[in-house]
Amino acid sequence: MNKVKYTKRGNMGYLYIFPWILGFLIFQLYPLGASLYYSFTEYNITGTPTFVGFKNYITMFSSDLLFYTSLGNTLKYVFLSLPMKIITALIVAVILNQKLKGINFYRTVYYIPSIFGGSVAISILWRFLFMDGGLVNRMLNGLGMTSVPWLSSPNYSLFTLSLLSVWQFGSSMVLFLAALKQVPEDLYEAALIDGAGAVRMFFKITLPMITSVLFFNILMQLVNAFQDFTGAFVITNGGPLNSTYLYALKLYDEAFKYFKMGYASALSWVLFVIILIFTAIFFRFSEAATYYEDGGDF
Amino acid sequence: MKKRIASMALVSALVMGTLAGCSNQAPTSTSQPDESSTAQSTLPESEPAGSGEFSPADAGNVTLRFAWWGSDARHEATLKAMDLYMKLYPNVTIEGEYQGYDGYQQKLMTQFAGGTEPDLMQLDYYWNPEWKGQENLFVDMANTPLVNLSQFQKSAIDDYMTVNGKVIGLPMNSSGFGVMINKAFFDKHSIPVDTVWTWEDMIEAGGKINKENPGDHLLAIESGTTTGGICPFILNAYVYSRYGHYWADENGKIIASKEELTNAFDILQQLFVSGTAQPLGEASLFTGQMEQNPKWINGEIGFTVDWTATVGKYKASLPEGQFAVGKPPFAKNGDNQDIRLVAGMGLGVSARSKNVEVATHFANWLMSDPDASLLMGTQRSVPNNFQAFKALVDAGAISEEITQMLDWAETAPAAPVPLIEFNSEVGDIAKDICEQVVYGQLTPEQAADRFLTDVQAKMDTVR
Repeated sequence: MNKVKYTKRGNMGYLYIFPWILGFLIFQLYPLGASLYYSFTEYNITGTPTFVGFKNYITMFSSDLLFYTSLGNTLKYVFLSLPMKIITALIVAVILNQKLKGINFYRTVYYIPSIFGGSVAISILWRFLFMDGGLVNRMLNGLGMTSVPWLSSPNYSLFTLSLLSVWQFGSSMVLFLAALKQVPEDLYEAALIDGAGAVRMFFKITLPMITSVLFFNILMQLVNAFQDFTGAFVITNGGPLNSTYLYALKLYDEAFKYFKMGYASALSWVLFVIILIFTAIFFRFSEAATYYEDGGDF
Repeated sequence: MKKRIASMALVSALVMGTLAGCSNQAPTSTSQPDESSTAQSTLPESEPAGSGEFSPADAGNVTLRFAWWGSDARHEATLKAMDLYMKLYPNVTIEGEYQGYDGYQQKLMTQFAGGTEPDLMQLDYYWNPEWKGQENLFVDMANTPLVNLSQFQKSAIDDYMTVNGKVIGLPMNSSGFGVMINKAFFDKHSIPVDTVWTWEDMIEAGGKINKENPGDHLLAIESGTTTGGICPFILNAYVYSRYGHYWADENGKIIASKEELTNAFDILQQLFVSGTAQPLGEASLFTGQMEQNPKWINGEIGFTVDWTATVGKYKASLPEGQFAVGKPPFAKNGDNQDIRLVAGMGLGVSARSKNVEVATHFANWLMSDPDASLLMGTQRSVPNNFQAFKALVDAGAISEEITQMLDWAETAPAAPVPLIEFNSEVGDIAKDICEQVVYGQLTPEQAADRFLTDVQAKMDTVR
């Protein structure tokens, strides 16, 4: 039998990555394991956990109506914000992928919102922008249009929240920009010779050539969108009429408002499974559609 | 001036007696001070009452963390008082951890769970049901020589600060309920500031105002939290005023009938349908921060409802002379016109604090020292401690508005609300039902049916 020989150099490698391993064990693996355990308990945040088996999961699926409300809202939010964000990021990246004087300034400006993120300060700003007498409605009034209840009506509130996510397209845009720069120029030259227009070149050359980055962006934004919390918490607190009651907000309420840490842990594991399922479906779907320069097919 | 001093002297005597009369059994308003409060005029001035032999100066270098919620004005006032204590005891450093009300309890509970809670913390009696299942989270103020509980209202201690037989905090205030008025709105619509509203009159007048001026609303109230907003406004204030009882009893049973609840939800619906109240979605953007509502600031809102502890922030948000207070609305032909008066804010010390003695000494000092009282002013309404209260009265530091609101509440104090009504889960279900009424998804009768089943079911599980 061949034995693996651990060289001194190999051991040194483990030493170098040990800090990360330690951090992973303490700050990721342990909390993961603890939350899995708590999900099978009734645990008031200041008491001791009491094992209750699958009770939390059964309650969630059988009698907690707000679970379905929050899940439904989150799915709507994801499938509203994600396409808008990706499309906006891609369009802006295409526009900024030009050799013009001062283009770097514009690239910086469009990237800045993603640095601010969906912070509390930005969420408060969003509230003031979209409230009844806010800047957006004043602009609409100036154009002779009536005000829209962006945040105060259940019909518009989720859309308005998703705009906050879309506004932070900068990080996706930067990745698209980098990908666009990798597309060989000779492909466009050949297409021009064949008489292809800009739109045709975009769909037949640009888009297929950047599918790997497109796939990455979609996946990352999908995972983030499922976990969005700050905007819903700060701006609308789940209202009006639970229309912006996202899953993350439901989780927060169970853990920190009702102090039912066991149930909240169960919710977090269900979210994990949901994201896992979506990711797996997306990976399966993208397998055939993604072009990799080092040998993938499309 | 003389009238103001006389008024404040009257309020001081009345408030000191009122909370002695408030109990869970029955409201018995009295103008006589509680027997335990008669000794306050003979206290020594050199050390705060109750400090015993202990001196923080002997404790070495100590750092305390003190958490509270409030407005900017309250933060500034509290920081000044902390600075004074640190000057008196230079070996003690106190770090303030302050924020708005929203999220404060959640943060505190998380800190307790993680063992990182602050040494001292401001508490709300609404949270007492949450502490009931927990033992030994707070220093028992009845069992420490560093505190003289006789300097506080006994009923405030018994009714608001005692959990599991232990006194979990020192009562910080006495606070009355009422309306916060923007006089510019009242002047614009020729409404006398001293109008005492019935709900029905409010809806009629508010509807007329909004019809003539679509952007103006007589009232702004948010969807709210468990402790404020449309649900407590209707289900506590209106039901109590109309029918003489709250919707639940101390045993966690709904005692309001379907007819009573239907009527209450009907009033709620009319408030919004008539345009009396600012659309709920808009007002709710300023939950707990109604003083920041641009419509309030711009004189497009007539009044909102809140406690004397918040008078400071509303007054500060308006130009000089534009703020006034009023009595809360009552039900026409109702059984009760009592006004809520609570001592619901407390100052607790963590039992796990590494500096329990210094923290308890500071807590007692903060609540009872006259200089501290003058610095903190009425940012938490009037102090519950007799020494502290007397200091403000003597200095003429209690505003007319607070004096007036307390006077009204003291004259006819309402019975304490059963604490089960403040349970977070119960409150959220009730809030959802109220919202559905406002948005027309439920008729008042449907809402009453839903309330009787869903809310009772939840109360049965959390009792």
